[in-house]
Amino acid sequence: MDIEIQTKKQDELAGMPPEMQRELEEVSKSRRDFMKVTGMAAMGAVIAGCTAKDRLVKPLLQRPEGVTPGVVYDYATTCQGCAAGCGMVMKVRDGRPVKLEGARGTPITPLGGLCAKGMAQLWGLYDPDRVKDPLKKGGEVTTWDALDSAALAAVKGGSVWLLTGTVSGPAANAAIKKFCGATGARHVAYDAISSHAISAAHKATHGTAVVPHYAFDKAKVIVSFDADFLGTWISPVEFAANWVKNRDLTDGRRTMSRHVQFEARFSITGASADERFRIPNAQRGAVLTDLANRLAGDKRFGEAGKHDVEATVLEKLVVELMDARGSALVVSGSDNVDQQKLVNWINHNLGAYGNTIDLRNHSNQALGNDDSLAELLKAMESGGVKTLIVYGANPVYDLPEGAKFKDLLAKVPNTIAISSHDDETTSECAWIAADHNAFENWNDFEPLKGLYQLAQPGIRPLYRTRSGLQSLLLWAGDAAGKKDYREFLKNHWEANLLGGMAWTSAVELGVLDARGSIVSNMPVMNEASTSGLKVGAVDQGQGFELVAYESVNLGDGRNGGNGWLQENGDPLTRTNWGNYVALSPFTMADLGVSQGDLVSVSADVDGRKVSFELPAVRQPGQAEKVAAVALGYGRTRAGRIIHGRGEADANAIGQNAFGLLGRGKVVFGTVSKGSGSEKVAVIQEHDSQEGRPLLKETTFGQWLKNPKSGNDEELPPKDLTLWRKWEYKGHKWEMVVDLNKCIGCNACQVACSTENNVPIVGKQEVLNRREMHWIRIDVYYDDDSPGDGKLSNAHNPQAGFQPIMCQHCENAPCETVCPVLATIHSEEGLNTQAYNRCIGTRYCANNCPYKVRRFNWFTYKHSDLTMNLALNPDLTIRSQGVMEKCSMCSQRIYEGKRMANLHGQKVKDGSIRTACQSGCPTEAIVIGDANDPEARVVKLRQDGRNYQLLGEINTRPGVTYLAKVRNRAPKAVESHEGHGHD
Amino acid sequence: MSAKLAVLFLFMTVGFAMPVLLGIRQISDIQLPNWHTGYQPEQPISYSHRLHAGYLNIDCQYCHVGVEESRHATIPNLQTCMNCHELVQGQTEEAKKNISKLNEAWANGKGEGVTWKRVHNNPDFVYFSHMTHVRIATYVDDNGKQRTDETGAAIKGIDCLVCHGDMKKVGVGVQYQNLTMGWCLNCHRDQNERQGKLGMAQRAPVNACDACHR
Repeated sequence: MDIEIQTKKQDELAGMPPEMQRELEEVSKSRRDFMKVTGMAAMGAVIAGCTAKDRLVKPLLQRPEGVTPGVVYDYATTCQGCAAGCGMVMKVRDGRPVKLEGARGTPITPLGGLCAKGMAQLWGLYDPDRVKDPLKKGGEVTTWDALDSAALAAVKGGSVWLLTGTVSGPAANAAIKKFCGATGARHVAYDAISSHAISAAHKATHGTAVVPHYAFDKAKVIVSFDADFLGTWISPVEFAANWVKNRDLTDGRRTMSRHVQFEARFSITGASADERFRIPNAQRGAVLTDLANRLAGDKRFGEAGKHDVEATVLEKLVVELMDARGSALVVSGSDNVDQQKLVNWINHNLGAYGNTIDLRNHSNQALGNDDSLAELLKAMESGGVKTLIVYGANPVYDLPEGAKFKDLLAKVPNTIAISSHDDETTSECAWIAADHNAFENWNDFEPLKGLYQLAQPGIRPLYRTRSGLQSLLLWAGDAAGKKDYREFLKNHWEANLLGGMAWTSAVELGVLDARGSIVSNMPVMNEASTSGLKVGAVDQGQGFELVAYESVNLGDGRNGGNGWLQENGDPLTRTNWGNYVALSPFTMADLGVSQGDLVSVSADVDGRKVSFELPAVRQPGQAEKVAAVALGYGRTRAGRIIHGRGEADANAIGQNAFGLLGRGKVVFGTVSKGSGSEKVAVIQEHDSQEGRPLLKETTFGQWLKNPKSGNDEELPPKDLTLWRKWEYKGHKWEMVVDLNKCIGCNACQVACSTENNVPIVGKQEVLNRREMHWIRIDVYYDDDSPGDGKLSNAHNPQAGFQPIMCQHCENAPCETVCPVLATIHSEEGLNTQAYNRCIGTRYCANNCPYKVRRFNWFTYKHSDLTMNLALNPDLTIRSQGVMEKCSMCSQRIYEGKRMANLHGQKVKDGSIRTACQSGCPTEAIVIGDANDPEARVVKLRQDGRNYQLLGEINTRPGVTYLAKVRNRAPKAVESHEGHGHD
Repeated sequence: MSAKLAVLFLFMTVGFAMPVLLGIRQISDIQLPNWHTGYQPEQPISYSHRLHAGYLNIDCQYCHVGVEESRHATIPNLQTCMNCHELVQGQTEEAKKNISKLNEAWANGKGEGVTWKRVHNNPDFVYFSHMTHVRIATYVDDNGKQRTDETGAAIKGIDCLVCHGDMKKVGVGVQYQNLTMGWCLNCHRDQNERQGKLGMAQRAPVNACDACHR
């Protein structure tokens, strides 16, 4: 983005300390601008009569049928940010997708919304550093003819292997099958973050090697062992929506599920759990064994090793699980097959199969097979691979043995990458068959058995690319390879799936739910398969336990070059632009490191030496002697936010931690204080509420007795005001955020940035506290132990999330101090900001108690105009010197009013949705008209849990919150009574 | 004293001379008198509204198709011109010259198209919607009467000529109103007042910056 510009500025003033450079630069800049402006005004007066510069406009030759310029059209498609297959709506305007949203009501996205990664997928389409032409190694542009004849010769030579990620689509698989049939190729699918242990365990216990579908909407008691199912695990958007269904306490609902989490690091799932216990992964087998033995009532799974979970906790948990038979669910993110087998046994004995776990309409979202991958590696080693085609995967980066793979790749005679992006693997291949981006391509998916989904293009291919599946068909010598891949897809669907349904209606809907037609027998548990299962021993190892985890922002790293995602703060440490070694504050004290100090991590994993240095970041609530490092960082080839920073390797953002994946074994290694420190970009440096009621919280038991529990404090009188009382004759827009539903997933933040053209500022500007997000998600740790005054120091704190955007105050402190009336209260209750009136005094930001106003310190230009295509044309691009902030998506409000007026109707509640609201996978955010008695916001404002943030200072915000509720076991409630916020 | 004056004079000289010395980047910041009212740039093809909308009585929306659907009224695609001009090649010398330019730009749907000069140039921070004004807004005229159709029934929308003047009498496109915020707001206030008198709900936003600026 603007990194290039900033690097140049740095050069101008090289040699000075960066802070001073920046200050100098600001001063000189503003003076220059002042002179320019005065000069201009004077000129205007003198030479009035000059002709104005003409602005040009060029209409199309022919108007595409049914398309009017300036009108937004919605197209149903499927998200391709990972293999989960979320239903997605592309908002296409003037022939280009400008915004993505979750499709409401599809089985994978029941409440709409997407994850942060899904929301940010447009970056890939407009990325100026995409693969634009068929290429030879080294980036030499070639022709499709040359590439095809090389590929055809290669596949005729035999020993062909095709390496892909998870491919679930029926037509896609048919195309791959045709390719393999014609060339004798072997297809290997792998997932960078594998769920192979789950399918392998089901192969053993149920005779079917599948990852089951977990029905969180049917689960009343959920126990998760290190499965981050709200953030990253298998299908997080669906799981979050289904999980929240049983925890929704609005509209008179009075039941709530129980969710207990055991984990080593701190995940957003752990933060949202009712109870969270921190255990190192080394103890996971022991705790599972203890739990299983207690369920069985004997010691059939052997002795459980010593672990940190109190016996009373597990005793109580067993009772709860048994009481909830048929609606209990135990999940684990473990990559150990035996541990997963034990999980299956527990679930079987809790009656989960057929109720909360579905093996018939199983998941196809993680089809990777680690065994076949190992075979491929072996074949490559022995020279048994003559041609390797890598399609949509990046093994050099995301295999634990990536470096070895890179060396082996050099020995393969013919290598072809089918990819839309330049990455670590494509650059090692002899040929790159430029693939369409997901938004230019036809494709299909089957995320759950029998649930078919389509992806359609929203734009014509921008460059000289070709669908990867079409390439495979062509190289297979199939006639379909000569035509656009759409033909093959359409024919396959019409012949096999549609059953008389029109192709056009399937495309329009995007989803074909035929799950009911799958009538195979339900696989039955073979209990003998778990007899003698012994996973109770605590994994022993020297030094620190090293955990490499998937982060909600970058996931497996395929979006490593995505600026929106890099700019997102981690939900729990609030750190962006780079990964770090997360350590508990106590472990940090033992090591003698403080935040930002470099620590070196080294380990020997299966004979692989892994070592790197990263800054330490404190993570309260993480298990002791555990070091957690996020995956997805350390990309060396991922477009300009990596390469824009200079030489490729040296400027990777963070470090690649894939080497730490142990494939079923817990990895141990050394963590020691390195030399020096690095500045860590942290968005929120204060994670304690200092005893103030900001993020209010109560327990389910207390809430049942008193709907205002946790929210019943006496606040000082608050009716003295300088302002006249506002009257709203028409609409009055208000927002309610249900903190009980917020899982801190960051999706709203990306949704907001893409809708509202929020610039990306980069690490240095974040360090300068100049990030620009209009909505942020604050995290607070509850904390009663002595820390350093700002940061939580508790051993096992609980964390809560609070999205903060402009609160649209009635008595707005910002409006009082604006000298030019650039920010004023609208007649519909919104705090509006007129950018063209703003002169940049920043008084408003200083006077805002919520710190939601953002100042443009620079004009954040894109370094390539292609990126501008992703901008929303309904909003001004703000320039240097202008204050900006959340507008409650006023462009959407006006559009909604316009549509209602057009049909002569009143604005229907729910018809206007802000970007954050439609980005949210759990419906935590609701906006509406407070003057409409039927509106949902009105009901939510009357809820006992409703409160105003900093209501005591009488700002009378239009945004209010619903207190968080945790369903804690009674004993835990007692022991926590003294804590918390009430 | 004189030293101070000299400094002041120096500053003013520099202030005036700077833009000239530096070269003015955006001359469009400098306005024609009365905010470009009467701006009528020379177009690549001197299309006559007088002929098409006036003499031939073609409806505005035959060409400006977006006006009821979109923010933009839209400048017609060449296909729209060619619907007639495939056959109509003009009678006068000037018409023939213009239509031959059109044929060249069209070139059987494979040409370069025509790059017109934009007549109404609102600043980028103004979000005006034709659809809202032409299709949804209620308009009460100076006589306190609501707009009616041929049968006398009240209809929605503002007539094009309120803002664009009577294009049936104008040749090449011209800016008729000054398009300032004051002009917009005066009309909004007047409308709210007039509609209030008729007992109608007042909908034109007045105290809402975000209606146009976002």
